[in-house]
Amino acid sequence: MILQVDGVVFRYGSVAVLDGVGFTVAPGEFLAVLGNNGAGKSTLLKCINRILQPHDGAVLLGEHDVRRLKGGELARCIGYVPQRTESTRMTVYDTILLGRRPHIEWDAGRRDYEVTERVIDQLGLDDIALRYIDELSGGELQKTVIARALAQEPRVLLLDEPTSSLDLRNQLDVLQTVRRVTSEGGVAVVAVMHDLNLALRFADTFCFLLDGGVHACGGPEVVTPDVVSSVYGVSVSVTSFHDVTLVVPL
Amino acid sequence: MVMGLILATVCMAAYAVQAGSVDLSVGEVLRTLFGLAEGTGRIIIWNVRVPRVLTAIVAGVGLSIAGAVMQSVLRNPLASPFTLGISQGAAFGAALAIIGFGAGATGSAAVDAVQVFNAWSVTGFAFAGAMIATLTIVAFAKYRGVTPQTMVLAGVALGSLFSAGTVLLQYFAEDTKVAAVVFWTFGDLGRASWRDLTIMALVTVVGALYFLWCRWDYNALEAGSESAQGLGVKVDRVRLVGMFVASLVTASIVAFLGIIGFIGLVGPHLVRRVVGNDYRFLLPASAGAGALLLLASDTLARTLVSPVVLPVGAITSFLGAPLFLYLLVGRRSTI
Repeated sequence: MILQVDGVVFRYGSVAVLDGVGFTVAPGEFLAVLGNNGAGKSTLLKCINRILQPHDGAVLLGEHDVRRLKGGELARCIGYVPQRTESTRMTVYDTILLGRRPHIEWDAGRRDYEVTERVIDQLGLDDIALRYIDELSGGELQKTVIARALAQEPRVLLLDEPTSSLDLRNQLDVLQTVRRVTSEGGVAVVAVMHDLNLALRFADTFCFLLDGGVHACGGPEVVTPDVVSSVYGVSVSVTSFHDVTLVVPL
Repeated sequence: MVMGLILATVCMAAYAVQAGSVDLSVGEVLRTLFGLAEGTGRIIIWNVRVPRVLTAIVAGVGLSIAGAVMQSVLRNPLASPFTLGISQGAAFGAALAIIGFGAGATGSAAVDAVQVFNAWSVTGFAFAGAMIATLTIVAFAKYRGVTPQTMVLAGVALGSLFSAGTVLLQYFAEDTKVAAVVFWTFGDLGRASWRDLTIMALVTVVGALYFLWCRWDYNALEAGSESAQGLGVKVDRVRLVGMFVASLVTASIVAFLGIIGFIGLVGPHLVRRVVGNDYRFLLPASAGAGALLLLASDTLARTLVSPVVLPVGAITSFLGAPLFLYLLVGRRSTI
């Protein structure tokens, strides 16, 4: 199911944060949304997920307009991992099972437990499945929350700065896991990211937001010194090191 | 855990029916409960003790689950009918009925001599007071945005407004009426007749079913409102309806019995420390803890300095507060 964002406009008061943003993401594709603080990256994710109602434009999931889907239907199609998650006294297992809520009528059934266990297995969370999430490390919590979103069995996964509070090892670990699971399952990923080098490493396509619009969008070839310096106002050099493309501020 | 609480409640209920100022043997109690006995024992048990015990269970369950839900939808561990001005609203309503409309007065200083001339108008006014407080908060939240902060702050403001109103009424009232108001606010499980009990039980059961139906939504709210929206929860609606139903359950109990503090706050927290914050388990466990705590408190209130019946609200706090503090110190995790 292709995710198509078409001319989305969103205003806070009279200030247009998003002014005609559009792109498409194919199944299994990983799109990194990049841009300055306040460029509207998080707002864009919330518009896709209908947490915020766009003032104009449309978000299409395959044939369906997101605005016409009911809350439950939408949550069966789109998984969302917000920037901040509150932890509480609930086990990892129950937290991930909560991802089945859009599929549950009165109580969790056999399939809900099966999906939960499969996701736990995919993300390697077996060892901590019975721990309380308010006792986890940042990396473990982030993986648990991503697992909850995957348990929704979504076609599209929205990640808002999935690695912002993680150490280097966990940054790589979390993104590798997401990449693997979503490629295998054909899930489209839209991830807001700050670290250009991490984005270059894991994303297929890149979307730079500037002044409410899309400044550049495409494969790794759009990550050029010109684009980066006009978006972030920093002059950079793009080089290759051990076959890894790197953006180095000058 | 939940089974244990239910078992403990049943045992406590059995003891509570047997214990009291009139000595009845265990055999007599059992014979009466199974409809085999005659005489005063039968009257005491069926008209006084059984309704009282059942009232304690229903009110304990109702107040405790309402408290648990308020704590969830308001994202605030301190949320309870007191924080939101619901109890104060009920007290103001009762005061207005007693003082303003002459629905009751005390004959002498002795508590037992209080006469509420028109129980239905006091109950009705108390219920109206509590619901006015609730509806104001809900309307305010609808208008101003449904955030937990707005609702808690509006509740606190309403609470002091109603308290001030009660104080003013009392200041200008006759002594006997002031005493009647004060007595009403003590809270007393013995006020409920079988009919009152049926009404409370119905409201509590309907409320409990609604809360259970929403248990996944309350769990989702624990992860923050954005995560909950991502899981397809209509956050604003769950908050407003949850608040309303919790208040309705509280109001119908408080209106009949007077103010019984602390159960709504402590009942859920007692079990939160053991079962965690998963509402699938927390709701039944809170119900059990609330019923057990209120029943134990009431039995203690009746038997401690028998035949005087102490105000149950005070005993709840005497029992609950040290237990709560102990749990707070004993386990290091946060609420």
